[in-house]
Amino acid sequence: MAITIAKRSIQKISIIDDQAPVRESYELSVEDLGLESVSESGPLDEELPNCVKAVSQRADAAICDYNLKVKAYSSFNGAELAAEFYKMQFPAVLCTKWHTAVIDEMRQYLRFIPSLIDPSKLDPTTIKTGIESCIREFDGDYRPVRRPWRALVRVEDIRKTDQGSEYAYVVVPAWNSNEVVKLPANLIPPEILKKLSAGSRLHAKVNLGAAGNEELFFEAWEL
Amino acid sequence: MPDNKARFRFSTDILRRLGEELNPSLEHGIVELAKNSYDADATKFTVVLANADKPGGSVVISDNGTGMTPADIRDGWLVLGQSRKSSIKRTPGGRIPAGYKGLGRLAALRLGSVASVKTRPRTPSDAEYHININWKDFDTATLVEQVDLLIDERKRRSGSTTGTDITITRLRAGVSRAEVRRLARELILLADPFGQTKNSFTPVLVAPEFDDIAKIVETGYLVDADFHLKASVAPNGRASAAVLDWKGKELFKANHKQLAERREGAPYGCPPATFDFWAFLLKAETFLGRNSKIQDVRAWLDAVGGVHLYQNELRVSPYGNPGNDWLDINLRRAQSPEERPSTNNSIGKISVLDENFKLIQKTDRSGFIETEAFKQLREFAQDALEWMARERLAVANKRREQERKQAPEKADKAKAVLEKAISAAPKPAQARLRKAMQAYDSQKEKEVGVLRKEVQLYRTLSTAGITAATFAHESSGNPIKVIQQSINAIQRRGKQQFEAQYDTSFAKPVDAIIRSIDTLGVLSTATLSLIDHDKRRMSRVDLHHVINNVVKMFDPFFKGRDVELKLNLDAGSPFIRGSEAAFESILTNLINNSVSAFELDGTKNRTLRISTTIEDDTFTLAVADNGPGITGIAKRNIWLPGQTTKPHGTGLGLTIVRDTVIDLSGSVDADEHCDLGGAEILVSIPLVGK
Repeated sequence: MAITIAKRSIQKISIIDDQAPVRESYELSVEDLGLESVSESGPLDEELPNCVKAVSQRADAAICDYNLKVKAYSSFNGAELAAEFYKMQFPAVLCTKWHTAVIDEMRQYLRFIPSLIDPSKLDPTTIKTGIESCIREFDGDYRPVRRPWRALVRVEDIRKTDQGSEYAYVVVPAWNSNEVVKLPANLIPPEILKKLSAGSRLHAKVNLGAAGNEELFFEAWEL
Repeated sequence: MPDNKARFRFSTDILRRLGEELNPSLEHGIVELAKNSYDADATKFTVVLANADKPGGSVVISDNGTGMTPADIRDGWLVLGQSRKSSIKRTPGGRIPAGYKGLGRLAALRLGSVASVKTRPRTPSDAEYHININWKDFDTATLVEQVDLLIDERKRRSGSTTGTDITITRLRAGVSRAEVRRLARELILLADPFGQTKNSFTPVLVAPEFDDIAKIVETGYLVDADFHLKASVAPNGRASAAVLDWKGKELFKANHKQLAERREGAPYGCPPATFDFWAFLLKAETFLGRNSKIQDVRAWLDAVGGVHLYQNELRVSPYGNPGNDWLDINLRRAQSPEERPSTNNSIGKISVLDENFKLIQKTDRSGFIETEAFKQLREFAQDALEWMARERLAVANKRREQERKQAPEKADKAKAVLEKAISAAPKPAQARLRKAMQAYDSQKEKEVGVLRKEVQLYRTLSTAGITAATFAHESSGNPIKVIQQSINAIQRRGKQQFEAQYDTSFAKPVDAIIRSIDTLGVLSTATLSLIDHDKRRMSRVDLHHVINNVVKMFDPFFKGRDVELKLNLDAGSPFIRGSEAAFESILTNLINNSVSAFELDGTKNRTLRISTTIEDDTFTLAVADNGPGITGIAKRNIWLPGQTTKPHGTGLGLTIVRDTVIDLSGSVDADEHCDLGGAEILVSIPLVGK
């Protein structure tokens, strides 16, 4: 059976998770939505575009877990995959329990992940609204929490971790003047990044309607 | 001048504006005169402050440089606002000119009512030129150009060397102690306080009224440093380093690969530079038998400490100034304190040979523009300091291992010596001495036993923490997800298929599972949240924000244990500078304490109250409950490690609270029975802002 979500016919949903019991548990929600699930038992194609192509040929949308690299299931994580799906206009819901470390890694992909669902909240309704958000965004129809606005960004600090990853700590006063947001420095174009230090101010497009830090994305930086 | 031509002319007021109003500090003016002397190839620069602590005193500044001819005076020295910075032509003595605009010089000359200059150039070798500037003449004139300054040629005293003497008399105001201290610091740092550079430029400060400060200028304590890091980066960007001990013996050595570990061996893209860094162990025992006194070294480090940056032998401000920790030395120490120096116990010098001026100074003279070259220079210095810390830590670990191995042997030896001494005592005393020794031994054994247990407890708790964190990753992942999804499906399908019968037969057990999963999930979230790396970073910590987050995180626990939370936060957003982890551990331990007390006591109608108050610059956190209160233990002992009234308690929670609060410069207090009936712990912390 197929259902229509935002004018797109959806019949099969691909389930991407490296654990078979988790895939089976997600299938329960897909079945309750009246749709057919396609379990990706892996390993996934090592090349991201090939993987996206293969999945999109087998299904009309995807539910994808974040941690895909624990076993030899995939060479990329779920955020990279979901972002690639988005760029190919293939609706995908990223299902993860986010904590700070995950958000740090995920931040650079958030612009391309309209549907981020905590596993405890995954059910037929949230899957449907998640897919709907993706399809609407492909057509330029953003939910208020996702609409990017040109905003002032103040740099609080730029520093490297002991492991060598560089992060920028910024404040977006128009979103929350009291909260520091951590971004991977590679999100900022290198020619701009090299001119930045603590106290620098610049502009970027930010989804100012985001309810929480974990939903914030940044793009179109200008100094 | 024909009538149709005009030109700007300057009112005499402009001298005041450009002089003392633009450069109000004494040290900047005198330092600019010192730079003039440096560019004149002087090797000695002397500042004499006579009766300068009150108005009417004088300042005499003299050097042994190349002096000035009348043309130099007219076309250089008297021309204000002219910068020679763009010129990179070396002086006849081979120095790269410091460059100056002359405005600081104007300010210095205007410190008194009269400034007189005597200068002796190389040629003619028998002439001395005098020029007197009486500022009163300018006060009565309207335009600067109306006052003529006369260059008077006199015969030079035989035997006098080349150089320039400037005497500023009838000082308008007294010079304060703080100004002299700043001047001393600037003079020391101006050229080479480290005594390493050829063509050294030696500043001398003579100030009878401030003799103690003047002494600091001439004394150096580098020989007292316990560690001397010598690092350099070659023109090809490759670096090397060595650490010497106070005798000059090499302790560690690193090649480029070891230093540039973080950058995977990539060369440093900065001009060639050398980095000397002296770290002092300011402990009384390390100064035993040395000539210097620890308090003198402290005062000297206080005056000149920090890592100073020199471009072509001249210091560039503000690097290494008080409060300017441009290499994050203190931050690194705060993150991992063992074997790391702070800016209070170290001094350093980075000399950059930068003939092509790859490092560009900002126009307002507030340091270099943050170009890639500058960033790479900073990285080189930070990498060298990191490497030294790693090596010192490895040595400290080795030493600890050695000490652990040697401790029993040493104790046995000491015991044998004592036994021998007892045997040598008169017979009747021997039995008494042995008994006393046994009593002492047994007491000591007990003490060691307690300490050993404490160490083991810390290790066990750390292991429990590490295991919980590992398991948290696991449990927040798959098993919980599977249970959650499955039970949700059972709920959905049950409601649909069994309709009314679902509520009577299945709703209760299904809801119980869903609630339990929520609680189970919190355990992993809370553990992961507590170990979040970023929370240990030194930054601004919004205290109310942290409290709200902790309370939110604990909410399912409170519900699971029937605890009613009363949260009364004062208005405002109080903040401190510290780590979020520190404040979070205070609150978390206090909450854990109350929750355990409820359980132990079997308290009914459990209430936990978390309230904050802000008074002046002090923040007080009060955590109170209606549990049993502080009983069975004296109030003063609750903070001691291992002291607990709970059967399986660790007795560390409140110790961690107290130690953390002390680290934040705060204080703790407790009320055995507050208005709620149970204990109330009060934590006061000084605020940075609110």
